[in-house]
Amino acid sequence: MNGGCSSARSTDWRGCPVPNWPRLVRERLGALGIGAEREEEVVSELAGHFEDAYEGSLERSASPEQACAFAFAEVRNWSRLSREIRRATEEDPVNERTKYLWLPGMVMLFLSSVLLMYITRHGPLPVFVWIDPRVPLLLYVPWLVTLPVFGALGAYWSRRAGGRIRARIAAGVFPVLMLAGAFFMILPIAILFDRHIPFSMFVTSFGLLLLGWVLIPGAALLLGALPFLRNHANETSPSRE
Amino acid sequence: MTIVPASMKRGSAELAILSVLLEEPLHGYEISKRIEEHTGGVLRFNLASLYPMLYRLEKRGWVKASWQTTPSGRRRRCYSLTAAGRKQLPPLRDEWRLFFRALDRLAGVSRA
Repeated sequence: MNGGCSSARSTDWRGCPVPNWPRLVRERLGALGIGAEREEEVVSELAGHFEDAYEGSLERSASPEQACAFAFAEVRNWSRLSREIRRATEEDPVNERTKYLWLPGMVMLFLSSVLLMYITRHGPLPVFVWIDPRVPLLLYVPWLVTLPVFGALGAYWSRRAGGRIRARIAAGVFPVLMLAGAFFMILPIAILFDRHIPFSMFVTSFGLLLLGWVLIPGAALLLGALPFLRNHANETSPSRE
Repeated sequence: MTIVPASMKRGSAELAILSVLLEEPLHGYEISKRIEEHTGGVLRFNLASLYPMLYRLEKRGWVKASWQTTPSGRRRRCYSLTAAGRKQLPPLRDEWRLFFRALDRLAGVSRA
């Protein structure tokens, strides 16, 4: 990937009066892995530099081909430039994870929780599904209906921040991940300390809680997140996780 | 005794960029041209050395960048000096002054 003008790819601009600088830069630079948005910005900026250098040469009476060659002579080693840019723009991985996972996830958790609180107080009563005669399965239908929106927002936000598919899924289903975590922590404690309820009932209740508060809401969130698990056509390197 | 840092090369690039940005906000190509003009062509920044340095300075908060439309109607990312960047200039200048004095004492550069 060395040397713009002497590389095989440089045939792309030969004979072309106005080269497509962004495309040429994108091709040579390759995936930077710094997040789609930032990457696009870098490509635009470098393309602008090439454009100015090219036109500067034309003003100094160079032919279009010479001007192209002069412009591309500014970069001898594209892979090195790519590495240098990545190193220079890389952020602290913790900050990055915050951007593409924790922040969208926590915001969606907060919003979906607020909505659930509102629905439990002011909304219609939950639907009781008697799968087991002893314990009903509670479903807050209006809340469940809105969950795909939160899943979509979380995954979209994560994608915009440069999150990869796993991060987008995690950001999309984040609200139920927290609930699942809480359930798995509470259950053993409840079994240990509450000796009045038979173990079989514990298992049934836990299964129904898991179904009503984790699996069904999780599926709804995932449904919303699905369209954002695919990359944009012009997205070259959504990066992390 | 102050020891001149090992990162002199990088330091010289930082000093050059911060110095031209002290005059006015510029985009990358203008920065390289301005440095070349001010040094009579002795110092030249090509794209490969300029942008990683600009991004490092931006990450440190010494410069900030914003997209602006030039008089010719093109969008360019213009860099300007931040207050933190402005503060970095005097110590950088002192380091270089010290370096050149030391070199002068050693090799008589100014008398050569």
